[in-house]
Amino acid sequence: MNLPTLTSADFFPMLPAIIMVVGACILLLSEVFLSAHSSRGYQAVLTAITAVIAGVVALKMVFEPAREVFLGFGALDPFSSFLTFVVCVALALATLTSAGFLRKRGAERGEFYALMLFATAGMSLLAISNELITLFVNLEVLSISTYALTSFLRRGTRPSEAGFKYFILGAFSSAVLLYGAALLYGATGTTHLTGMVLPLANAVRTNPALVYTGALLVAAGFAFKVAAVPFHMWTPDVYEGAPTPVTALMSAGVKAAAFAALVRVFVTVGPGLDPQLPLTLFSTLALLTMVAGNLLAIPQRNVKRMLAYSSIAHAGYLLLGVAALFATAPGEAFSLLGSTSLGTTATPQAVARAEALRGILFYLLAYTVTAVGAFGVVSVLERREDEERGTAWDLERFSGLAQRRPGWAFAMAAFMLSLAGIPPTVGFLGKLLIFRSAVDAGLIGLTIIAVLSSAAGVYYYLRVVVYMYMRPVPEGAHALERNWMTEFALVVSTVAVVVLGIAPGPVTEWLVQAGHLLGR
Amino acid sequence: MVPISYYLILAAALFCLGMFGVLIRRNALVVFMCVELMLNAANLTFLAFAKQNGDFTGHVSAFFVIAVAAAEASIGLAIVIAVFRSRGSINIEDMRTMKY
Amino acid sequence: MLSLLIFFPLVGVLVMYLLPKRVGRTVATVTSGVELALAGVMALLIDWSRGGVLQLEERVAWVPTLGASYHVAVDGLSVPLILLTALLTFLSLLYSGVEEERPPTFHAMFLVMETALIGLFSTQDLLLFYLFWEASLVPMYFIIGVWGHADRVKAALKFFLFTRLGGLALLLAILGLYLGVEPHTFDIPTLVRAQPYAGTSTAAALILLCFLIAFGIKLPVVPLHTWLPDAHTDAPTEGSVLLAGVLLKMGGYGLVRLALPTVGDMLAEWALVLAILAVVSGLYGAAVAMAQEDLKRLVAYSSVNHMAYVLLAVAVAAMLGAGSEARQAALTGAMYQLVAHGLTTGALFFLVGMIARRAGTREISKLSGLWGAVPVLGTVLAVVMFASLGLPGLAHFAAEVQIVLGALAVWWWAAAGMLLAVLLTTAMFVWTLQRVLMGRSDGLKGLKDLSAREGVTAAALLVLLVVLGIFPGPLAKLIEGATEQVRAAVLTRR
Repeated sequence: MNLPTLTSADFFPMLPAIIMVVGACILLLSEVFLSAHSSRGYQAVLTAITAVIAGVVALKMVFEPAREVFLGFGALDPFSSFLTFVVCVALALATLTSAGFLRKRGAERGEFYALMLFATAGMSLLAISNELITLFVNLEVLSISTYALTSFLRRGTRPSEAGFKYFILGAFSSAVLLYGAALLYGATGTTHLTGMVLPLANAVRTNPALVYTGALLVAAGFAFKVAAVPFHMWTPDVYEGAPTPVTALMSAGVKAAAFAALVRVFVTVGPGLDPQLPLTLFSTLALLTMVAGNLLAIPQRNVKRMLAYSSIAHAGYLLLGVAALFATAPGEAFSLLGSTSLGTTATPQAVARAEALRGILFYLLAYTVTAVGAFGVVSVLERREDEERGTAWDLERFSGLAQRRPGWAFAMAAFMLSLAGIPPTVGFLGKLLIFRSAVDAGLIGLTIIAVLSSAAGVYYYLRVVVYMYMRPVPEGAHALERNWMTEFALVVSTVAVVVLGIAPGPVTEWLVQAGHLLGR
Repeated sequence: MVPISYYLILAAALFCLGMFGVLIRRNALVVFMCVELMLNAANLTFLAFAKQNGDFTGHVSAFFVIAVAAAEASIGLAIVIAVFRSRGSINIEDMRTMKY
Repeated sequence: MLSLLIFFPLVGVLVMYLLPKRVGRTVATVTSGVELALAGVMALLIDWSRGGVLQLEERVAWVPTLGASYHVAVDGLSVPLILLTALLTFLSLLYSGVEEERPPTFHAMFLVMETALIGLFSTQDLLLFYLFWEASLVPMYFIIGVWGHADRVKAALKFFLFTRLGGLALLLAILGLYLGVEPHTFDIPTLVRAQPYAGTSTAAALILLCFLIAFGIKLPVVPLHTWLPDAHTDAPTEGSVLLAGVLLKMGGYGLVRLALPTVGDMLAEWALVLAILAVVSGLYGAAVAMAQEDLKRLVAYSSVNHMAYVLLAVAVAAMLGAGSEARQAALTGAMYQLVAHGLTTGALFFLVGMIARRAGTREISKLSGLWGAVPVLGTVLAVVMFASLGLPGLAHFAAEVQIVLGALAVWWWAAAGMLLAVLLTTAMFVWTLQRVLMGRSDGLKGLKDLSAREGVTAAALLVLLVVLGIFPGPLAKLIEGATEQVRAAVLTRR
């Protein structure tokens, strides 16, 4: 039996993930030497530094040429590198907010940060997975870590309940995805995405039922992961019950990684399928998700839960971008990786698809900095005592915040405006890019619905601003504790939200890379 | 020899059983077992197709899935225990702290 | 020069937060004063005889991958509105503190809005236009919601939701225009030259519909006007002035700057509907204003009436059958109307604020004999109201006559309808004056007349109203240069 020869170049795309795993191991090992009362302030800093290093490495890799690695099991391309960068940003910001959060609850432990790092490593690896089983394993790496993180706080009924619901939801969707993968394997005889295209085109003719059931099950599995309506059932419960920094990581990082995998699977095997299928599928999902997410968020007085529904609505806009990927190229064969030369031969469809990919990536980045920041503000305002009564995240907590902590109120206002897509914030540019590719792809009706539903969204985002700026400070409001790490994260997010909204400069340049190479 | 399609039909039946079990059963442990059933239905499908195609990918996949399922089971059981400790019951109907 | 003009107020905001709180208002007022002076310098720098040419142009790459650039320049359409913005912001900040002390953030909001508005009126890039459009929304939302009167939060939310909906429609229209040319660009002059949507088509119709929703809400046109009375009634005086004086102008400016040159053919197709809407708005605004008990609400509804002229002028200008002279006259009238309305309504809201502060009420039935109690204030109110009803020799007259004459060349009934609206407005204002100024002034005895600050505010606007009424020449000529350009854009297409 001959073993495959792997060179160091094969391990190169895993570098960010390796860095994070090493960081996690250091944290776990160091925990052994600490007593229950030792200071653990260094852990959050160490995690954030690890995330930053991994993020910088990922950013460097954006400029690497696209290629297959690990005998085709992985794909190094700017798309995955940029996505790794996004999840590293999410990790760094979420870690900084968790330090204060955990300390308030006396639950600061190295395991927490290690699990966060493992989860993010899983996201990074998921983004480069180019084979169905690899994809499944990496999906599980990230999911299992997040199950544990969700129920990390053991006191009270909420975390365990949220953990259980997330576990069942996650395991169920993984099983659905896996069964779909098994059917696709049966139809094509391979699990490599790139190798699947040609056999798939044959199988569609000989055994369409098998192929379409498989594709639909895989899509359904992903729809669970990105919390698309009607697969969103327990998502708000999970987001509400999980520790707030974990919710932040889930809503930004997990979703980004799941979107990356979804895009890769369907863009790669897409030419083998009837192009109408992904288009119809994702258009319908986008429609339902946008409308339902926004409508369900409107009556929420619980800000954390409102953000959960808002995250569903944002998944809807992203799905609109995904649908736009498939609208333009009926049956046009193209390869994902560098096997065809890049150059001036790009067709209009390929250009449009690259634009749509860029839109999705930018939106993910925009949503990450905004949502993690917003959850950060939520986390500094909540108190453990109120959690069991369910009032920890009530709008009342935000009353008069502008008078008590003008900085926090300003940051939260910026995040809300960005989520609502109002310039000059980064959320606006994200929406602009998505809507542009959707209009370009001819999805005019869907774009109009997206616009209308995001107009409805303004109502519930603004309500938070109303409470912060236009309500008096309530009687007997509890003191607000400050924490420099959380505040640092808030400053970084706010600056990113505003500056990227006005001058996206370098990010768009990285994106030019990221979009071009995958699309062509 | 038993035709491949028999295995596939068995796997599909197991998968559906598991799926409906997750959706309608109320005992957390049973729901958990139903998820395992779904994973194993996928395994069976992989193996049946591997047999049909005569390659190893399906076999290897099944091993990976078994390993992942074991990891998932350990976390899942730990969570079920945490649920039981916090409320003395593992009925899903009781898990309604958070309202819609 | 233009960038300095746009971003100078933000420098003021920075300085304001660096200095102690109590000098906040002074810093803000000085900043807006310097800004007004800068706007004056800008007005001196440009060539008034060539209003149709983009002047003081500045262009820097901004988001090259999107085809968006930081492109600012002024022409005859923008200069009057920029001057108006600078003037009204300065007067608002000068006046602020007369009614009650405001925190620095209140003043900062005005400066931020000034940047957004001047930016909006001078940008030549659609994306930048949209950015400034929405950026002007947020400060106004806070001004109404935090510092407004009784029902402020609801009014602010209504204002925000309406204009946000309009903003999103605008975004769609902009995207449509952007995707219409190859390579995609947001540059307005390039788009106007390329004319991607000449003739009538579904795409053009959709774009125009979006434009009409966006600008119709802002203008506002019946039936999209319902946010306006609430927003005006509950906004603080300074906010109302800027809202009515400048923010409404964004709608008219957008129609002339964007809708007419890009989808003019489609606009001509729909001109009849727009004219009917305009006449309905005009009559409705005048009639409903007459029924108002609240002086501020009355002024707000009279805005609906005045802005209807602008829509009518645009419909006339787009109309194929109209002689081009009449068309251009109407368009010039529309831009002139924007300026005149900014001045009169600004003045009216200041005066209502002054009256409300003295008498403690804005209800017309509770006010009487103002003339006897505060003669100067009463006289100013009378003059401004006469200006608003279109008395010859005052600013509105020149504008409205041009528009009605233009309309007469196309639809006689529209002109007749507008004349009826003028009649209604006249009756409404005269009746109001009679109720407020005349009669016994028992309840208002011992009130102080105008203070120095109030006097300066009122006098500045009054002088301009008279000057623009008597010498419409120079400004009209500047505007004409630009409308000539718009007309040329519409003409070359056929």
